[in-house]
Amino acid sequence: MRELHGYHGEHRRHARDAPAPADNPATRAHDGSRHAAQDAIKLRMLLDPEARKAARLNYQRKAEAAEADYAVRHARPAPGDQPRAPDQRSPREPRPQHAPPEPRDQPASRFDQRERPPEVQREDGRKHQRSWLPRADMVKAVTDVGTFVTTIAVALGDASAKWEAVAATGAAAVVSNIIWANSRRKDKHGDRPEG
Amino acid sequence: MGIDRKAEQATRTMLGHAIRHELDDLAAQMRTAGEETLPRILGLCALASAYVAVDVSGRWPTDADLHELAKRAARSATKLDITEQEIHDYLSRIALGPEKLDDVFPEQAIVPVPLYATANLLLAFSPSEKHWWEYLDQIWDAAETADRTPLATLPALILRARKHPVQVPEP
Repeated sequence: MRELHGYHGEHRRHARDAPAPADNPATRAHDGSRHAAQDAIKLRMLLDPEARKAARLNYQRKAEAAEADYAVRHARPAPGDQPRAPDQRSPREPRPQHAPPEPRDQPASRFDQRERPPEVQREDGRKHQRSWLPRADMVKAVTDVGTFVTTIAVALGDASAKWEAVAATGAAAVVSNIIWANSRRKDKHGDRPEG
Repeated sequence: MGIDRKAEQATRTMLGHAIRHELDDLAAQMRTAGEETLPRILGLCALASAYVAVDVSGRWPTDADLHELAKRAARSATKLDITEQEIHDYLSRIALGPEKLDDVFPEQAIVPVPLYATANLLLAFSPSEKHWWEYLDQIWDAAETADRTPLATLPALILRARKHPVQVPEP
């Protein structure tokens, strides 16, 4: 594979038929002094075991010092540090655990909570539900429309206004509004026993 | 597909009669409903029963869950003539299963079993703060909302339910 690309190993020579790369050591400006210094260090490490030991110990001392410094900085908050956010756990707090799934060969544990006591069932079963048709609303609407039509007829002179008729219409309007308001209260509060 | 209002009204009325053990009124209501509306009423009963089973189990009900549901529903205060085995068969094979009523029950039980089972389940397992008919409102609302909701939201709903479970109040 390497031969196919004209690569000839570590000598950085290329075959004659390989196109010269645009950026290579031959075309780049030579930086001989820096390369020479790095090569000298590498050569020294390769050849001198004592130098390798000294470098290793030096690195170990630096690492231990950095770890100690990190531990001190994170052990107590510096003045002006933000307090820990409420949802942020300290390392000593246990992680919240998921509830294990309930076994499938046993009934779910919620049945006792959900089943209503027999007396509650009996009480709820006796109650009549809300009427699906809003009968009180219908009564009120019919009465209001009748009152409006009568008023228009009297205003146009098609009907004679008598005090008895006015009183009857007013009484019907009052009754229908009371029924309507009562049904609204029941809709809001249901027919639960009070107290 | 929304809830058919006419069938819903008839279902609600019939369930009310069943829960109050007004069997003559229930029979009259069945005759009034007619052949056309009755299958839709039974479909709504299956929907309501399945909802209660899943809601009370808190998961897709296992056979153990269904046996427990049936046992508790059979002793409901309605005193309707339905057995634990019939409720279990209705839930497992029809409401939550693929079978049809006439494949599972004899002809004379095709209408009473769904109505009685649904009535018992509603009365026994309505949330403590609701009447059974308010629980029925919740079931229809949930079914209509589910019809309009893409199934792609299901993982998000499961995540929400796991991370923020609804607290069931102590009885």
